[in-house]
Amino acid sequence: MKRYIALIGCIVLLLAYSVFSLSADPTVIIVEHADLYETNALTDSPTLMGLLNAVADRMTLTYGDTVRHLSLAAVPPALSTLLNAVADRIRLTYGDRVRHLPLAVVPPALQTELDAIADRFVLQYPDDNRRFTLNYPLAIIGDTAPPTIVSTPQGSFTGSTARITWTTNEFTTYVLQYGASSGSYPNQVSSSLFNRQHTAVIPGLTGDLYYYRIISTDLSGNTSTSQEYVLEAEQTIFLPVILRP
Amino acid sequence: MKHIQIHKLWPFGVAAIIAFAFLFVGGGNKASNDATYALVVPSFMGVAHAAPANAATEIIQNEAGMSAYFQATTPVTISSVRPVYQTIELETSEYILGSVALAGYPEDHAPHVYVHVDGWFLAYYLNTDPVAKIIDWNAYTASGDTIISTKLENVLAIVAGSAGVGIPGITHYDFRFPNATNMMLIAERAEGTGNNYFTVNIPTSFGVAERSWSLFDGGYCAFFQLNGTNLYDGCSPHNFGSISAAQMPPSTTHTIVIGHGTEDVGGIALVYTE
Repeated sequence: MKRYIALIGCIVLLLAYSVFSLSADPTVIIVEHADLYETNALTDSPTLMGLLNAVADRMTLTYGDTVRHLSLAAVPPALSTLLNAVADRIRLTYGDRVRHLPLAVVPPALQTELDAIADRFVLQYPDDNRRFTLNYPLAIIGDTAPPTIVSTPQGSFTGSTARITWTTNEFTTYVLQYGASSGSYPNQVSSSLFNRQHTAVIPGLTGDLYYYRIISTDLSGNTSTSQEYVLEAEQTIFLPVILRP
Repeated sequence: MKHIQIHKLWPFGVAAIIAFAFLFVGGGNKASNDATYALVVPSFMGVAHAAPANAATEIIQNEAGMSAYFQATTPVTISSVRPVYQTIELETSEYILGSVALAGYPEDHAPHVYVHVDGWFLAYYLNTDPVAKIIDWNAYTASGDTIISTKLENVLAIVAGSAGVGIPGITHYDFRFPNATNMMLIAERAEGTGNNYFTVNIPTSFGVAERSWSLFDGGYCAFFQLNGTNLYDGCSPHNFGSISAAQMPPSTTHTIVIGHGTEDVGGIALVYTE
């Protein structure tokens, strides 16, 4: 009795092993109820794979009715030379109309007139602007008093150029007359700008002593001539050094 | 031997040097700067300064900045213009000087006005006021943003109307800048609550004596901007100020932006020599 039980157990275990081992291996082909079967092992064909690998890349076409293959050749040098000679151009796409206008240089006569246009404020986008001319109210002020110099003129020298500064009691222009002799003023410098603080620059002085006077004119046209002033060059003294033996 | 001889003569040398120095230097008035030359003032003095035409014109010359003036074709009486004066500083039988109020503006916007019986009318702001203060934004708005007029012109119209005289033509002048030949006023309005801008480029050949800005804020708050910098950002109606030369150099395009409020109109004034 024990032998039958052991034999039956072994058969059950064998069947169970067969079922589980078949279901775990998907590569196994299960043939049932066939009268005959044949198995063949497949192996790589080096010759065929070599040929397949040698096939060049290609466009993959599917369902195309017709195909035409055109080889593109490099532009012949002669044609390339001509193409390179084509000028640059503005590229237009989809423009309805084009008009090309060559721009010429402004004729000299017109350019002369353009150059003669005075400088101006360049205004962009203001809503309005207004320009006024300014004029001194001569008749209202009624000034008949001549201007005066209220600070003694001071001078300084840089090389052969003298710089003289002074102050007037009102806005004036000036003419500064000067010369090497007292009472004689053959040379002059002047300014037509109205100022209270004045600076006159006299270049090219070679002497050590000059005499000058200042003629001032105010906005009302009143003129005054100053007294004579003296412009005297400073002397530099070099003291000798005496060495005792 | 030679050194001994020099040693014996040195007192004479020093004396000669001192005498030389006194002769050529002692008479001058040497300045502290070594490069300064002394100017010797002779004993006689210059021409004496006489008094100006009258006390009022002396005041005007001392305190006036931008001004506007005209002469009527007929003489005027002081009594005919006195009623429009808010304050009177000087009054004689020949002339009157005081301030005249402008409707719609605060008291410190009242120009000074001088009237002479000869028919001369002159209005001015003080020389401490920037020129742009003269722009009359109320009048500009009333004209439909078409006419830039100055408060000086409009106050002269008030006084001339009181005197019963016509205005043949008004001329402006700034007593601070006697060499300036022209003034330019530029106006811009900001639409709605948005901003608006304009640009200006000053040629280097122009000598600009004064640059200033002005802004009227009709509602809420507003700003005035020059090249991205706020010169004003506040909520008062009448605003103006100066612009330095460094803030507006020549040969550069400057952008002026105004806006932010609901009724902003502003601009700049340039006084210059062409």
